[in-house]
Amino acid sequence: MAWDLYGGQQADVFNENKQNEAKPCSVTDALLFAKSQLEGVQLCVEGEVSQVKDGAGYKAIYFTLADEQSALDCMMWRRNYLAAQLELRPGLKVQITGHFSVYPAKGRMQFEALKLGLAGEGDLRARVDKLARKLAAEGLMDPARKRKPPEFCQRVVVITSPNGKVKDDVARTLRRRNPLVELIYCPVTVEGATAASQMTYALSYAAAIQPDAILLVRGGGSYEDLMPFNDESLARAIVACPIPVITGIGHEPDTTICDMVADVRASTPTAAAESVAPAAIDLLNGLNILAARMYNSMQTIIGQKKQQLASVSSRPILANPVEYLYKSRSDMLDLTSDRLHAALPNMITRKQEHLNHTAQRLIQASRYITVRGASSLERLVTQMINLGPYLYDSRQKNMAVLAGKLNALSPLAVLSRGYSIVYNEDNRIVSKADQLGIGSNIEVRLSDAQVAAKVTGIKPAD
Amino acid sequence: MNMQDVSTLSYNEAQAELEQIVRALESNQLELEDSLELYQRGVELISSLRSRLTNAEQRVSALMGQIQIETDDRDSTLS
Repeated sequence: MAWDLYGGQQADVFNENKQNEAKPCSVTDALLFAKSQLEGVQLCVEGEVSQVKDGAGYKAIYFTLADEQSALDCMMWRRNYLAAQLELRPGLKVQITGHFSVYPAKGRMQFEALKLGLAGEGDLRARVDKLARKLAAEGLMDPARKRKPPEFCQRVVVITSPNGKVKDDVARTLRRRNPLVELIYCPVTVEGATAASQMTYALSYAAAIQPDAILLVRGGGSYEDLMPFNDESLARAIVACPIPVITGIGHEPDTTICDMVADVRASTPTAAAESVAPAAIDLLNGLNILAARMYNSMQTIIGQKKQQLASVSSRPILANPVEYLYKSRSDMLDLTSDRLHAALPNMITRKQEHLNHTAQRLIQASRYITVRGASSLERLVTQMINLGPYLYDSRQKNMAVLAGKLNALSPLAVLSRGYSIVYNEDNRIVSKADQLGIGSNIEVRLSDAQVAAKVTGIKPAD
Repeated sequence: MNMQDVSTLSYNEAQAELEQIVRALESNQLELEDSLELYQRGVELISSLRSRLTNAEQRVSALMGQIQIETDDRDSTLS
């Protein structure tokens, strides 16, 4: 503590007073002396708040700062208090800067605080900065790592205090902006020793529901109040969370480590709520635009089909099918007949030429044959003429001899000599007696007649 | 093309399908019958999305219990 109570003029006054013990001063003088001595000296005091008196109409706030042995009555003008942005409450360790002041009328002394801050805040900020640098070095704050939540989150888990008005702010904001967003609250303590671990757990629960995004939000507070959001394991849980995390912690200038590692950092809980979905009115406008585009393209399609149909139906084949079909066929016929006309004479000419050629060859060949054949034919004729009488004479002589022999052998000739032939009933020639029986009819052939007879008896030949 | 009942689609799914339909119609490479079918589907999607936006009621629920139990456990192990 840098307070030289015994320095300079003060020491002289003290000594003077000691020397003049017999000459007392008035109470007022004593107090004015104390006042003049104390109020010029500025001090920085650290201690724990034990009592706070903050009346509605008071121009100043009154509190007591204590340590193990002593207590100090303090006051702070409201203007200064509001500037400090720190709510005094019993148990809070604070650092105040100011001076003693004396109230002579009551002989009371108190400490007038001009500035107020949290005890050890300097250390705290240094620790947070160090952690921030460490996590940044690991790439946890790298924008490339951060995920983009869906444009329109339909399901959102809100991790926040069940008590604060933040919860209602988020619901109200989205009810107004886009009531299609489903909100699932995950109540946690956002302040104090267990806040960071509760929120770390809440993140894993929230992720298990598989929402489109997770909002980690809380209202404004002192640097110390926001300390859970500077927790290393909570920061790492945000990074590890499979669902995009959007933070809205405190007010605009407050930035915590959670904000730095979050996928999206909104300046306030309300801004965080607004970021999860487009406004319903914008969606409706977008729908109207899509509907118009759809209608227009359908019109275009139908128009084009109509035009295609018109252009097809105006083609000659459809517009005047008879003429078109007839013409194409008649053209084809003309062409074919032309070819035919050309083909026939060609063929005839070719055949004729071939025929002429063959005839020529035949004539030549026949000439050759006639000339050569004539001589051999003459020779043959001569030969035959010479041979004729010879053949004829010899044959005629043989014939007379053979005719004589034949006549001698004729059975008829035998009959003329007195023999006869017997036929049985079956008209077979009978040559043996066993071919006949008594009473059987026979026919006997003579040289000039046939005689019918009946067998009356059979005697064997001698 | 997926012809799921429009009411079973989420808003984003319905919106994505609608955008796909508009693009397909704008590409103008479909048969007339297919275009008409898509158009009809698009109209259904638009009317469903519109009514969802205009008639939506906010759904809010809370995850109680679990978190509290878990954190209590953790607190007790810490203390």
